[in-house]
Amino acid sequence: MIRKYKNKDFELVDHTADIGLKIYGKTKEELFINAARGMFYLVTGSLVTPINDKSLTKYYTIESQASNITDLIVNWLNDLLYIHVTEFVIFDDYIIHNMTEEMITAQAEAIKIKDSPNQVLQEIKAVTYHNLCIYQNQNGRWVANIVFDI
Amino acid sequence: MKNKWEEVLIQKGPYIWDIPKEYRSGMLVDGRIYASQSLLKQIINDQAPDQVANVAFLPGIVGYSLAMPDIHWGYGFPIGGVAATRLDDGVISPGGVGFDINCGVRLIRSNLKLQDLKNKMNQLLEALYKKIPSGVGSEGILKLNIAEGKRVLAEGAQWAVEQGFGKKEDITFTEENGKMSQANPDIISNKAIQRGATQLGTLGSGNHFLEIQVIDQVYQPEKAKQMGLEEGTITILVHTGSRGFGHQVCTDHLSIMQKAVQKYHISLPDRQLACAPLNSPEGKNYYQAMCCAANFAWANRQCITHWIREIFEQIFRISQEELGLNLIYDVAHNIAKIEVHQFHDSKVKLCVHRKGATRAFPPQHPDLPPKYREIGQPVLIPGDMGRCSFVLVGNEKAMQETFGSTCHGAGRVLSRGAAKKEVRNRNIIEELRARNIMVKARSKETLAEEISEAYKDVSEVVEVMDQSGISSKVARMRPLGVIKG
Repeated sequence: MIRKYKNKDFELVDHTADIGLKIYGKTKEELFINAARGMFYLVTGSLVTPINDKSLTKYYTIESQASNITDLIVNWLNDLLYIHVTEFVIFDDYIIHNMTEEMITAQAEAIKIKDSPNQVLQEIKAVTYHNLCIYQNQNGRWVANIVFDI
Repeated sequence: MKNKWEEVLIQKGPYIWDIPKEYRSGMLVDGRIYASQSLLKQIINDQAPDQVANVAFLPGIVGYSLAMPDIHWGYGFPIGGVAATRLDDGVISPGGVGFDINCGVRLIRSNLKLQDLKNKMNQLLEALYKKIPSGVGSEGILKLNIAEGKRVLAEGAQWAVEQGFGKKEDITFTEENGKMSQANPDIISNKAIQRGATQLGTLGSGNHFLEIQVIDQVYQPEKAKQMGLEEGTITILVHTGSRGFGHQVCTDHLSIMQKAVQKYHISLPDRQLACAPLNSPEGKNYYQAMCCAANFAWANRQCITHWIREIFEQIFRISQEELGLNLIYDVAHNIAKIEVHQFHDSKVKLCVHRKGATRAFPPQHPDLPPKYREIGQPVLIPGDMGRCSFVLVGNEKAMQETFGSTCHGAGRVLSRGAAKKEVRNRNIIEELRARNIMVKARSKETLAEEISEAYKDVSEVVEVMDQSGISSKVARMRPLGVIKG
């Protein structure tokens, strides 16, 4: 079952034990950013947007690598997840500096959970490879299917 | 519309349904699902039977790709799946264990009866809730340096008891004595160590819980008595695992296994089943790392046990010895173990993956503590927070049919999203209170996701295993107070 989300950057896909996202992007870069936004939508239960008070903002450089683009999106999300759970932050914005099929370098903005207007409602254990795919649809949009273990 | 599985499945017994390996090219063995007619109706409307078929692709798999009656759609393996692989030419798959390595359950008994809890339940729940960190990203009170952290990974529950978190006999009543000796902390990534650093001694969130219960039905009084259980006994059930440490170990090794699948030319229908030969460096490393995570989980449940005892002592103002707070048993239900099984007229060592399945060794099995040698291994089956949980014992038939395995719980039937939709405009805490069940939860979302309707009826699941002769019911527990993350 796919529940349409009003923001068409991603949709929630029901799964008996876990949860899936169907993610869209005009470009591969946008797809990766929307995947990250979708993951933190699952974490917080709402769309996370940057806050105005930049003194609270923390900046992280994310450098993920893989042998292909589908594995790259898993590693990118797992790298963000790792920082989220060990640094106790919520990511709210992303700038991709460089990206190929095998690597991504990005700057990600976050704020401490305690300073965030968003609450952490969902623990994501990991990004899985189950039914994982990335493709370009008939309209030329990039689409990714990702299942998260929660 | 007719479900395709009605034509594929072949009934082999009152509770046994086989997926013949001809169902899909590449299956090395048949699939076998244990279920009643009514549970099967739920199961075939899920993607779980296809996942049973997928597991049958694993190189070196022997017997059947097995599924217990609580089976439901997971990732890679179905949840409720069991697969045994040969050591010489078989594989080990992190997907056959899951991210929450050694997620498991332990049951503590007491000398308390229902009337002793009168007017104390609220106080008890509040104190436990305060003492034992729970909820999303919960941080523990234990702060360990790297060297001490590595000792946890190497020694498991035995480390905890050495530190004063429990009694020596707790170790005897923990599967594997709370320590898998093949653990090798030196191969663990810094990321896993960082992720686990603050989470030892925490319950976590999701379906993890701590529950105060009363035994409301005894099916085999002699066996129950041997465990120290009788009708009216107050028990405490703890369900948690290896927390972020195990999640990161699985993440690290799944990535390695993706490359191993290509290196060893393994063909799989689902990438989450990624695996490596047991005798390859990738396979050996995963097993050693998985053992570290299993040990972390046993240390975690042991620390929580200690704090439960402390809280009961404080509230009842008598010692834990007088309270009789003894560990009945601790079982892992997400794990891979090297075990000896009878197969094709000879005893062989196999790697048994239990993904949402519980070990259920029979009487006289050498791995059982002397106290349980005559009755079989206690098997702990948690149900949902509104119904009941069970203590079973393993039977010889489990060794003959399921590589010494049985079910692990109720099994989800509604997705979390569907469960939340179901509870709109309902007050779950009040509903449970009306049934004399008090609940404390960090998050309303978790509570909504965990409603009874989200799960199969655990009684029906357990009945299948009992009637099949795999594991027998000993006692049933009714929840009185529940702490959810």
